[in-house]
Amino acid sequence: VSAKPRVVLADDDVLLREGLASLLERSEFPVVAQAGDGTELVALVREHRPELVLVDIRMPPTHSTEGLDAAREIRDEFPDMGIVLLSAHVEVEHAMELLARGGKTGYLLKSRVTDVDEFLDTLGRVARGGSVVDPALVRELVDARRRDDPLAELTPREREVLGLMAEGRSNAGIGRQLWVTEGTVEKHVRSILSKLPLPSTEDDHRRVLAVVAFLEAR
Amino acid sequence: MLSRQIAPIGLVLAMTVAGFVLARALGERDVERASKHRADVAVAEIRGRVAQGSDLAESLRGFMVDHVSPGVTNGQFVDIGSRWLAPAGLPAAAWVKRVPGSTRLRATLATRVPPIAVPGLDLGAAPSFSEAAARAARHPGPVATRLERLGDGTRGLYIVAAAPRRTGRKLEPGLVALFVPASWLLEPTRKSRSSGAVELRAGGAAAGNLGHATPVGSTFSALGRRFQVLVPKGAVRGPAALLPWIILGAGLVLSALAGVLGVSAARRVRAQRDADRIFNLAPELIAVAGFDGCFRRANPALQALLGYSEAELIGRPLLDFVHADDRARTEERTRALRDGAAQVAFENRNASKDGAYRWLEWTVTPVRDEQIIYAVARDVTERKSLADEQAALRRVATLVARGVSPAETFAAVVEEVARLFGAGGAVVARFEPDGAATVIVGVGQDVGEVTAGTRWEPGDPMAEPAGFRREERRPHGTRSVIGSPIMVEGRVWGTIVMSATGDPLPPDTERRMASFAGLVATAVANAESRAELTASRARVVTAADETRRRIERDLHDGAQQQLVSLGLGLRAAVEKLPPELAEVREELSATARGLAASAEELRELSRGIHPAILSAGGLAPALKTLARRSAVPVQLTISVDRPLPEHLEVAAYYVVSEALTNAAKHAHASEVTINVATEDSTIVLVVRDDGVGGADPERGSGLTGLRDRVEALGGTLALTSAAGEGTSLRAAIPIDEAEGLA
Repeated sequence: VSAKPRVVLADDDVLLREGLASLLERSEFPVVAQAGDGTELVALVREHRPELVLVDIRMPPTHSTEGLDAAREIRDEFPDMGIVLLSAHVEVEHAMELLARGGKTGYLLKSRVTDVDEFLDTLGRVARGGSVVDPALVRELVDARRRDDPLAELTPREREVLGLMAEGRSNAGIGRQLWVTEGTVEKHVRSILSKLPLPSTEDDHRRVLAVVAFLEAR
Repeated sequence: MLSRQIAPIGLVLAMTVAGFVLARALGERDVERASKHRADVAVAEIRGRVAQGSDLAESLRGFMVDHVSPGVTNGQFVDIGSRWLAPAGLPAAAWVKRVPGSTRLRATLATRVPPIAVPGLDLGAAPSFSEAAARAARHPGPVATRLERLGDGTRGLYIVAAAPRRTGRKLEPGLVALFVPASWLLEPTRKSRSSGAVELRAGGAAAGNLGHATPVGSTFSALGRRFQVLVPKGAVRGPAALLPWIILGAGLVLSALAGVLGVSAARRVRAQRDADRIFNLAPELIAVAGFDGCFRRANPALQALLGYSEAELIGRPLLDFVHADDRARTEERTRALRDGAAQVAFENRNASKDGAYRWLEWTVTPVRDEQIIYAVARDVTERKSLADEQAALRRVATLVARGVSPAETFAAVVEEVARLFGAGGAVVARFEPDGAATVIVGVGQDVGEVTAGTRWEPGDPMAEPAGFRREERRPHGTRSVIGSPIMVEGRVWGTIVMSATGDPLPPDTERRMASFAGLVATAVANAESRAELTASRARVVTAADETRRRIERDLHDGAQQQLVSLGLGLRAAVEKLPPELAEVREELSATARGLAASAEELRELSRGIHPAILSAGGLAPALKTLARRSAVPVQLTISVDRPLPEHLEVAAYYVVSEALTNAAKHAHASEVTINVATEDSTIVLVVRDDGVGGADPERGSGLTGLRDRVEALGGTLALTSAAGEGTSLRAAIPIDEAEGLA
């Protein structure tokens, strides 16, 4: 993995695409190519074999899930390539779909890019092998009301920890987020695992997938 | 007519009266005869006394004449009187000598008993004596005076005979007078009693007393005088008296009897004649049958209806004429008669000679003693066929009212028309804009080799929009083809064509077919309006959906994305600022965060405007998203076994979305159960909450909009919301039809 993950960017909105490109360029993410639709994206990815693909879900011609389709194709072809989907709104199904296909996956709301540092951090985590889920999506999953909700077993802090786990943060990352030590986070995680039917795993992606799947299915 | 009754009575009465009179007359005659006989007996008896008196007078005369010198003395005369008269029972006699130069007749010799108690009595003073004396002088024999009442009250007469007294040679003129009392004359009759009371008349006074009885008389002449003997006429007695009354009574009874018999006979005749007239003139159909079920009589109305003469009918079983389908029922009803029913009524079809069937309504009454059945029927064919037609129309109208598909209505119409009019075939055809007609549905073969889809070119006799009737003679009867136009909203939409072979169809057939054409028109118009309504709803819904989709896209891909872009631009600008302008950097960064927050807010706001996920993920993820975002916990079960058209998914999505909103807002529910399943060719959504219920389907536009949406797809939406029992919303949308309209 090179120090500067090369990026292929796909968005039909030229203004946004250029804005993103400029942001990435300034931030040690060289943009090797830009595409305006899915087909073009796949061609460019094959050509440039970037470390990271940043793709808008909704693109021409139908403005529905072209980006997702392209991501699926790319994932099948390049399992190690980092792929970050940008969506105008939360669609759990799409995120799940992508997560299920493998690691190095991110699902972010477009509005997330204006929080530049966080956004770049996210890209970095994905490029390094992690999986990331947008906090808004996680919040939707956690907030969903359930009768006999298993989450009711959790303390508020444990819920917070669970949400951050779903977002794809490591224990250390969670600790930073909550201003606690990693050991405290681990304790919370163990407690969560004892209360919920979640597998204990060291793999970041597996953990995200398991937590998100659990939250979605509970 | 009256005279015929009266004649025998009159005859009997006349004979009765005649018999009465005759019997009376015969009785009278017998009595008369008997009376006469009695009178004759009395005459004979009296005559005998008169003769005895006459003989005595003769004897006295002889005594006077024969006695010689010195002539008969008074003493002798008295002696003679006592010797001769007393035994005979006569009281007195005298010899009377006319006093010369005077009319006096002096009783010179007397028996000295009354009335000639004293000699010298002037007998000339006795009534009619002088006249008798004069007659005696001229008469050779004795004569009699009239019967007279004497001074002392006795009744009697004198028998006088000329009797000169001989004294020596000398004859002294004189008369012998013998007094005969009436009682003596009547004595034998009294004694014999054979004649009852007797009255004797001989001039002057009457002797005897008949009282008030009607006399019957007989006369005889003696002593120069006419005697009349009267006896009372006897009454008719005994059987003879009764006989006329018996005759009269019997006659009256007989005539009364004759009258009664005559009247009853006349009545019987009249009743028989009335019965015959009723039988012959009644419009009702009357049959008389034996218990064997065979005709014995059939009245003219029945003969006319069946087309058989009475002779052809008699002896044949009534059941022979009954329609095969009605026989079992008819037998079953008539069996009830055998089981003791006083009367049974039923309807059946009867074949006439020409093969046509008539519906008859029978009332059957048995007369068990005579083993006879009286069956009276009315022809109810018209009513039946009218009822039949009404029922057929009602069936079709019900279909139309239920809003079944026009195809189903057409199929029913051709079936009913063919059956009702006995048609060999019937079709419903629709006119094309070019004037051709296309058969939509047809039954039977008689209209021609037509099946659905057969096309009659413009100008084809069948494609006649005005309606028509064509008749043509065929070997088996007249083939009639009738077309009846189907008018929908003032234009000729199509036609019902029917064809029948047999008798020409009645003239009102067109009118009756028009009723069916009217129903078809209604069905078509309904279907068209329904289709238009559905289409227009679908258009409205589609337009609204399209608008929502565009808004959603505009928001997400337009406004929201623009905000993101602006934020990025701002961030880029901030990066370019020299570090000393920290304050500006911070302000711009805040603005960028504000932009991001706005974008976030916009995303939240636009959430659910249109379920973009449907475009790609399908219904299940979209519903899951709804369930996750629901304020009320949701149990979601989806068993959809096939991909659904998008508009149907959109509809399903909004149904669930609206139901969840209501459950959260109004129902105060603690849980919502959602079931989505495909059943056959329908997708069924049931959203049920455990809230307060009592939702008003008219309230708010949410449900109305849903109904429009669901019904636009040919589906149905039902809301059940009893207070306290939660609310249940059920939507069923046909999948195929949805595709058809898509």
